Amino acid sequence: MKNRIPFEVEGLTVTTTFGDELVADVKLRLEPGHILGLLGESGAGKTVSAKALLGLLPPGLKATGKVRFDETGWLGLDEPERIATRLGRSAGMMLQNPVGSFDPLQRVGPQLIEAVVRARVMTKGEARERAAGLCDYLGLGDPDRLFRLYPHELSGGMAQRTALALTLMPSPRFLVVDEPTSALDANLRVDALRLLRSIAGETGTAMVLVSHDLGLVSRFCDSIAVLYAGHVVESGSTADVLDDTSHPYTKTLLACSLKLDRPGRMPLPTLGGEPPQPGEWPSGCHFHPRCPDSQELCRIESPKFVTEAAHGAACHFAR
Amino acid sequence: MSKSRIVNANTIRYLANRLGQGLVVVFGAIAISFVLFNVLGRPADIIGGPFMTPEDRAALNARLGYDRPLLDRFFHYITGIFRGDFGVSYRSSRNAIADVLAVLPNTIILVLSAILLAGLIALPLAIFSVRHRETLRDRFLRRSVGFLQGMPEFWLSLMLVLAFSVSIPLLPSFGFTQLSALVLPTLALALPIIPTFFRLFRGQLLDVLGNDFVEAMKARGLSGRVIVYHHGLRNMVGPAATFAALQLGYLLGGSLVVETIFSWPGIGNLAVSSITLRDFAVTQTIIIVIAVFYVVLNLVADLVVLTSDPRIRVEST
Amino acid sequence: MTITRLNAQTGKPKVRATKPGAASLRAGGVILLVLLSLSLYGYLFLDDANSQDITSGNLPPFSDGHVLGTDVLGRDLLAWSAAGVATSLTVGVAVASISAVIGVLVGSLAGYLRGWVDTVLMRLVDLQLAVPPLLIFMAASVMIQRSVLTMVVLLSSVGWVPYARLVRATVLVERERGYIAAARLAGTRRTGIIIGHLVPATSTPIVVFASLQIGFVMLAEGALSFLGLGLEPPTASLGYMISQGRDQLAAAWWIATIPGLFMVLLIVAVNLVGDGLRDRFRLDQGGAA
Repeated sequence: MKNRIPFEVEGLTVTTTFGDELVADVKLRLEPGHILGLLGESGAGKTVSAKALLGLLPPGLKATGKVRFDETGWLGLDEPERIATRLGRSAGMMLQNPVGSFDPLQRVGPQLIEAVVRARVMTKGEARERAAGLCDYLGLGDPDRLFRLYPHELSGGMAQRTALALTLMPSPRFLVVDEPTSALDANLRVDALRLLRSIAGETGTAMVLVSHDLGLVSRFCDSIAVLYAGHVVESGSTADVLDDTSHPYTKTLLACSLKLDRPGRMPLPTLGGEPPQPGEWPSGCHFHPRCPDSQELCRIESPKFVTEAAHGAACHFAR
Repeated sequence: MSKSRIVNANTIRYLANRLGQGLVVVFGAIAISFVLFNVLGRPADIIGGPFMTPEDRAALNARLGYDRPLLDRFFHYITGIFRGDFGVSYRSSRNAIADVLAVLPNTIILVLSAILLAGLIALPLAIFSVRHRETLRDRFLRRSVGFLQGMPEFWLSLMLVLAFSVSIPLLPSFGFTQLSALVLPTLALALPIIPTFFRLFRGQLLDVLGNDFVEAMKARGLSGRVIVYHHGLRNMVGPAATFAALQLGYLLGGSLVVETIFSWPGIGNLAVSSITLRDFAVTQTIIIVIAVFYVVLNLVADLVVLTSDPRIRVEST
Repeated sequence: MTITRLNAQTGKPKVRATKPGAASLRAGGVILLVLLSLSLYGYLFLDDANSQDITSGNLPPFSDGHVLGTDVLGRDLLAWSAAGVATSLTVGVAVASISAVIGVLVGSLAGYLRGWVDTVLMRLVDLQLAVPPLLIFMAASVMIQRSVLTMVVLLSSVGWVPYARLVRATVLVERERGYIAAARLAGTRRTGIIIGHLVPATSTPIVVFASLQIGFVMLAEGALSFLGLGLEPPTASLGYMISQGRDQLAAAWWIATIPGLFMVLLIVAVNLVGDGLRDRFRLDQGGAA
């Protein structure tokens, strides 16, 4: 069951009720079965963007722009009620804390089937069958045993995969996966991402993987979007971004990430200054106070996002 | 990781600890009731009145046992209680515990129906307030509920009597001979605690809805209604039960006044009459019985928490 | 009040919401001011609240010379209520202040020293919840000479417990903070740490709680006086007058109703101020004493 409509979001902007901009004009496009890594430091607006495109912003934040998950077509991001009709059907989200996805007082089984049954995507019987199938597929062992457990009785890796089963129940076209590895031991991280990779390939689900870990993102994602202070500063296929880096921020990020094949034993470069806080973005290019190549123009004028084929960056002096 | 649903050793230790604390509370209540009538005042003076001759007073003291040393009396009092001897009510010439237990059920009926009524009114209001939070309707609701908090039970009772018994003779305002007599005292007791319940439910619900799983459920496409009614409420049962049990003392305090006004044949009425008529054995017994009642109810609330939350049974392993 | 601030970089106005709790504080303050002026007016210009005149008993409101009517003994309800408001406030404020002082002392000792002080305190907290304070007040009130002073002492003897619990909880958190360790290392003595550092740290929640407790104290005083176990004439108590009206409910509804309305108004005003303070300082403890 392959779908042909790519996931797209355009002009995603999030503002607080006080008028502070948290994220401005984010544009992403994602083919079915592909994974996009949304990369950035904390406070850069990753999670806010991810929540905004599913209409899940907390009260006090407002989004504008438009998004498309499936054949229903474009939906306004300022209408979370309309987006909500797609949640649990073609779009979903996996939270950072997998155990936290479950109601702690209810056994896993009923929770797995609740959403799809209530949304009338499946009957109870179909849902049970699908849940058992997913258990098998995700290597969760005997479904009957799993269904009888309470969420707190799941081990770390198991919880992760059960939470994944939960989001995969309705066969979504699009998933947001928020920091999927932060709750896992190091040895389980690669397994988890490999699993996501193969699910994307086999089901055609497009995924946005929110992460601050350049190493993981570059190994498992088809494309990368780098977020700095609420702006996408560079995006493109993983190969383009890594090998043909355009934006000074991305360059610094790459230089900072430890590579074992680094020639010699050069000290790791560091980035001076602090990342700006939401609502206190600098003028012009948001990166200019910390940029090694900053010029007068950068302070005054906000750079346009310049695209060359599928790869682009927002810098006045991009290469 | 234990998966067994069998109550484990830690749970038992926890309950035993709580029971121990409860026993301390009951002992404290016994001590308070003793101190009140043996150290603070001289019951013989109060019972006998100001016109006693010293000989009369000595005789009365001897008859009531107040001529012996304090510690001796305390020991005697405590051992008496353990034998079931709470002293004799001079009005009924019976063991005071018999008088108290005879009317206890009426008070329990009144207090429980007040808790039930207050809960049934406060819960839907709290749900409404949370689902429409920070809207004008929510603010208006919160403000108007707050006004109930200033209602003195005794005045509210009189106003209810005035409205429903005097002006429109609709409901009885006296005694407990028919079920409709329950209506006015229950209202008088329940209305002033609605704000407290409302705030508690609202706070608990907001707490629960701040959990990650609520966002995850929204992302799964579950509606706000389903999340609140099927998951939110269930998650607040434990804390709410604990709180309701803690409110009991306050409620019983309110029932002292309300029962007097409505001549409700309960503990509150008995307490007021025993105090004004100096039947102190009964007053002492009431203090102790209320403390025991409180301890038992709090243990029940603990059990509710233990059975409603699967995490607690395992967490302590 | 809406504060407009310009964002340094963007030059866009930032709209900040009204300060939390302002509306409650204002409303409560206005009602309190009105009630206080009334009781001052009563004190200065009205007859003594206790002056009786059997010939003009049970007069309904808007009677000649008695705007709010009279009770059976011809006591003027306006004068009585004006004086009663003052009595309630006096008792409420006095009890809250005394309770706060004792509670802060015991609570900070218990929280800082732990050990047996702490154990005894926590059991007292339990006990205070287990036995209705009103019952203790009632029982004690037949043992003592009744006056405003003894009433204040009686209510404070139980009232300090919740403060102690509150302070203890705050101190338990604060004592682990760095600045306390620093003070200890600098050689500050225990009493110095408690008075100089721990008590100030608890002052905001204490003020908020005290403002909320005043309402509860006024309710308790009213209930005791209503039952004939609290304040009696010549002290003017709202609760006492309501109990006088109880016997006349069918004949003269106003005797119970009018002082009660004053009491409700007073308690609502005090609670509004307390709620406003709580919102202002963003504390969310329940208000139950």
